[in-house]
Amino acid sequence: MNKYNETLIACEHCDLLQVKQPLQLGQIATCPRCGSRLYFNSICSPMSMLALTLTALILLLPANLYPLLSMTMIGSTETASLLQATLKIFHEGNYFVALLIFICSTIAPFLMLLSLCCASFIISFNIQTQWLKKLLKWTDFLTHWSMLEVYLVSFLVALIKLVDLADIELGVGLVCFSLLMIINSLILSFFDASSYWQKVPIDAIS
Amino acid sequence: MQSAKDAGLVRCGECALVCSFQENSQCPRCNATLTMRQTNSLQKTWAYLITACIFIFPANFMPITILISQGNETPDTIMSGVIALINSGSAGIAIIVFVASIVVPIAKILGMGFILLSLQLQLSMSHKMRFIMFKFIDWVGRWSMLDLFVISIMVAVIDKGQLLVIVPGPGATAFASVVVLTLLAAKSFDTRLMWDLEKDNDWTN
Repeated sequence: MNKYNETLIACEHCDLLQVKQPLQLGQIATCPRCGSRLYFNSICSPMSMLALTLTALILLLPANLYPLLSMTMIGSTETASLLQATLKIFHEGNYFVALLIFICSTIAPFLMLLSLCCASFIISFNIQTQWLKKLLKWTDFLTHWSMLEVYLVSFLVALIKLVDLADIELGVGLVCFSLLMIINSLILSFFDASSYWQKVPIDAIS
Repeated sequence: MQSAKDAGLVRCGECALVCSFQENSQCPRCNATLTMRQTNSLQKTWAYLITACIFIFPANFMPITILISQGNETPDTIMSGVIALINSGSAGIAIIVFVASIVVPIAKILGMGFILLSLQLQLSMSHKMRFIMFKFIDWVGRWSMLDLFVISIMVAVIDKGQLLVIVPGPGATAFASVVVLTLLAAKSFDTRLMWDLEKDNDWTN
């Protein structure tokens, strides 16, 4: 059984060891050696985080299923939703590309929001469960692969490429997707993993 | 200033709890196996980088999209797409695509290679500079996905059967591999190795 010390913190990036200081609401502790963020006192409680993640999860459905844009060209109209765009690549036989796009634009954001939502729920209502550890690990892992902001910029690039070719009409999906991206960025900047981990009980016998 | 390693402590890689270090032991909070540094971090990073190096050639020289208009196939590589954008007057977008698809992957491979070499040869350079360089490489890497997302939208929208179709080319798969491999390379690199050199070289911040 390893000894542990919850009053100490080691920097994730440079391993500098320091004593944790209490922070005021909204304050951020940064590493004096490498400048990375160590921990912070988020203005967003787990209950507010629950609200934010639920909103994002609700938006995720129309953002994926409703058309981002419709394009009229040579007399016929094509619409494209996020999911359709991925499926089309899949049907063309580019399975690897399709899978990557699917993971980064749909699956990773969805699972990341879902696990953070469940974790916030567990902490808000003080539920004792072994799942909290897993959920927090998944959240951390999936954050790296969730690329909503990149997708939105890509959409703008595609839009400018297409605008000369045909008549473009923007869809409901785009509104939902933009909102989703904004809320997702808020969630990422408000989420302090260390305060969530503190809620995980440390077993006397492991 | 003391690092956790020098104090015989280790930060849990998963949950950040500071524990005393023993070989093959587990974190008392999240049960993850404790390792002082990521196992074989440098070897793994090199392996991903070298593989990415191989894939970057087909990614740039094979067609990433193929435009089929009334039976005529026009293959487009990343570079010819950028040139087409400049010719059509959208230089701003051309720069975004050029930076995200060509400059970033190459700069990432060269930058990571430089960091790894300077670490293994113990070149005396500012740790802070090296770290800022890595942070930038790490952050900018995800933007390489841009071109793939653009392709997926274009392919979905431009589909007029016999008249006009865009299909992704073999270059797209190679490009996707480069993006994934460079992301994995950055993820498997343990930045703490850079700072471990500090006391050896007697660097004062």
